Amino acid sequence: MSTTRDARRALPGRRRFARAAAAIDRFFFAPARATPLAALRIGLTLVLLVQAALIAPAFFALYERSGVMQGVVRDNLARPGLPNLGWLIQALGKAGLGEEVILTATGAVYVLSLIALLLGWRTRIVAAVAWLTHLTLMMTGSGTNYGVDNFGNIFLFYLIWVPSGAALSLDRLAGRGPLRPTSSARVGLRVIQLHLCMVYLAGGLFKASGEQWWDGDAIWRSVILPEYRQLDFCWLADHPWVAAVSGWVVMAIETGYCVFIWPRRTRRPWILVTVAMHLGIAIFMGLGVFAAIMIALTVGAFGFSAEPAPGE
Amino acid sequence: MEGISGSPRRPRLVIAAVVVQLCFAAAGAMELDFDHAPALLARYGALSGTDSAYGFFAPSVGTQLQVTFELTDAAGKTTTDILTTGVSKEADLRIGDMVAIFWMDDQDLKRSIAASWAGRMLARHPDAIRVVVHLDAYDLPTMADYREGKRPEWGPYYEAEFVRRARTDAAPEQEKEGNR
Repeated sequence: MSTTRDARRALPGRRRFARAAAAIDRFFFAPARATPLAALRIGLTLVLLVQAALIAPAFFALYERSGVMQGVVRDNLARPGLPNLGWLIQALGKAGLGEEVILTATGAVYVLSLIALLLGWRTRIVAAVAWLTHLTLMMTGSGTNYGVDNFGNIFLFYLIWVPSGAALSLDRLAGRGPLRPTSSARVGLRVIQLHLCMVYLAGGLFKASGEQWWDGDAIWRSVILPEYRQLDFCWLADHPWVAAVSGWVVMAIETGYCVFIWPRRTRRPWILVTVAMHLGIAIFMGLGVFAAIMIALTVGAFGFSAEPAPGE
Repeated sequence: MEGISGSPRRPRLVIAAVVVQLCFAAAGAMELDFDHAPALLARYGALSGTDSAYGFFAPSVGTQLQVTFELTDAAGKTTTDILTTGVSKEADLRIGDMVAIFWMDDQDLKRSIAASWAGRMLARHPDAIRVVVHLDAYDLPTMADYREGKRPEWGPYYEAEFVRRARTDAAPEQEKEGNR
């Protein structure tokens, strides 16, 4: 008798657990269209191609061994066990290939793989090539990298594993890959979305831990330092509340991202304020490429519906 | 195959990969030190980019360093040069990141980088026999100090002097250096 009662009592608990497990399963594995992944692929590769074009005139100065950071120093800064052009130069030098040829070839492979990735041609293979060449250039130019390079590395790595070529791609036109919504598209998108939430949450919380972001000094410094200065913002000193409120808004957008980007009702407004914040960074700090990559990631990951059409 | 509540069983490898990747992403977001992690974890963090930190301009916005080079030829004529390329903001941001390495306390690294730059400058100016590497820090007052009349200014931070060993020797010889 008591065993039956215990079993009855346990039932709602088990049901709740089963319901939660099913919800988690749906969240991570319900079949999804690959459109958001494709949009992210296109946005990311466009930004990286623009970045490559902007760096191209200074490519040799930045990466050759007699460049701004010379070989010996670069070798000291290099992280052991990770791909580095120094290796290639050493290995292929014995075969008579000069540094200039190797650098040019690496740059060309990187750009061509990005173009192929943009078009979605043999998507996963070219994503792997783009990721590897990007990582090699990053490790070679150690000490010269910044946020854009890190995000390039992270999201090119994801594009190797997620089916971003299943939509808006030459692969799709050629009939390669799945035509129907897949679980792999959903799980890939969820990991990317959760990673982005961590990025913004960490950014917001680290800012909130510093006094400068509360009293406006961080905003003041960001727009006055010569490296970022685009316009004359000295007037902020006479209206410090403008800088303080701007700092609060930035913290609110970043910490609120992981909450308000999910519900359908707040998703679009949060994408808009996030895009506006990054446009502000581009306009007032001159960090155009950084702003563009962050916009591409948020719009790609959250701005397109992954839900299958009826009957799909 | 059915799992809990009628859900299909998912490949364990996929679930494991998702959990591992998200744990790495969280570790990076928390700015855990991957450099002192076991080699395999550090390697995965670097390859996947999950060892990146995201506290951009946080918790505070620092200041800026700029580098200038004073070159002197055999006749005593002095010229100045800079490191930035001027080709694009994107390229010069990278130079700025390199210059920012000087905020670190590693004196040997600073000396190596300064020597590296000096070598490049002596190669760019074949007539120069001496180069002084100047790093200046931007002293930006707070908004309150600015209202009181204080203005931003560049102040000396680091200086090192190098001379060319011989006309055929590309490597400069360091004479003296020091933090200001």
